[in-house]
Amino acid sequence: MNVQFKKGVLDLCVLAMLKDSDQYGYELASTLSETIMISDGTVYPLLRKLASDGLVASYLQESQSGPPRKYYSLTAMGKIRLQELLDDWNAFTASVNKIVGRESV
Amino acid sequence: MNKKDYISALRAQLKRLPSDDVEDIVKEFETHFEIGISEGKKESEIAAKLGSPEEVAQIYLSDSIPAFDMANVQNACPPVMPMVPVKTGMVIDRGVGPQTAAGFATGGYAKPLQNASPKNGSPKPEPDGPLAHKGAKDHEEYVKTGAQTGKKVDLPDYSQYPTQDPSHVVPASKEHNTLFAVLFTIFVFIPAWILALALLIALIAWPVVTGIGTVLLFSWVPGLSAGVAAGTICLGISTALATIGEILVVFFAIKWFVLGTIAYIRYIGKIMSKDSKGGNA
Repeated sequence: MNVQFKKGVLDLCVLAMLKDSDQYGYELASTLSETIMISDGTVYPLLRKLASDGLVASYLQESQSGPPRKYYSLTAMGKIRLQELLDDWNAFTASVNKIVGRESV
Repeated sequence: MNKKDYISALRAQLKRLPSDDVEDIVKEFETHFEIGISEGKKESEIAAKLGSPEEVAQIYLSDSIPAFDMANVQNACPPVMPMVPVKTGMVIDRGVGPQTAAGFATGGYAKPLQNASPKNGSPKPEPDGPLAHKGAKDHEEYVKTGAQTGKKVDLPDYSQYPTQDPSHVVPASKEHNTLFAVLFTIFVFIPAWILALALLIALIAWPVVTGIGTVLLFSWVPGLSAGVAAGTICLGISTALATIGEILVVFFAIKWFVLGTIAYIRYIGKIMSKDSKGGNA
């Protein structure tokens, strides 16, 4: 997949993944690297940036196996941002699909 | 690459960031390795999937340069750039409130005003001396840092900024500045000036008075014994020596007195002229 595409939608993907449940970095990284073929390491800077923008919050939680995990959750601002990005995404894909000749996916 | 090598390479690449941030980041990657290991993966496998430490560090470093978002800046601060001169030459160089976005995006300083085109018929503003230079310098630094980290830095088109004469930014504080100047002059400067003048006169008068006194004492009291006469001569000599020292002291005293007075008058003049400029906002 085109690198620019991935970069553009990475925020959206991470926020969307956190919508229903809090997740830790490793989980997010694994899912993303499997589905849109990014390297695991790019997820952490992104999470950090989202956190500094106030879109996600993090907390530590012990786990039965392995080290304590840093979970990320969506903040109120993050939810708003997610909705905005989703709207953008839907509008964008709809118009692109029109141009490339497919009415719907 | 094993975990240890990966972490130390990452740490080395990140050394430009604050150490708290580096520890935070490194911890996250250590945890990533540990979870992977607990799932039975090899360290080299995990490292390969992470991407090279250089690449990862690059993202962190370029994120530490505030990204520029033209739309946000324009929404956040339509009319005013964060160059706010306040009274008596002090300068706030970081914006507050809605101005922060622009200040932040340009590394804390607005572009110097001289290249900006005036909008809404406002007068073309003059760059504000030292601040303009500082802004330009930070701007350069910002671009340079962007170039070093290899990230494309999208620079704003500064000419699109609506700009204003900074004197519009701060409400006119004419009364305050003038009141301050007048009160300070009456209660601090004039008393200090009189005292300094009196000390200066005393300083100059002292050797003259004692010198003349010695001579008078010598000539007017004819009945003095030889001992008293000798003592008087000694006094005269010591007075003469002291006078040489005093000439130096007096020289500097006069110099600083005059310079101080000139500086003060100029300073007051500046305050007054600022008031008259800012007074019509």
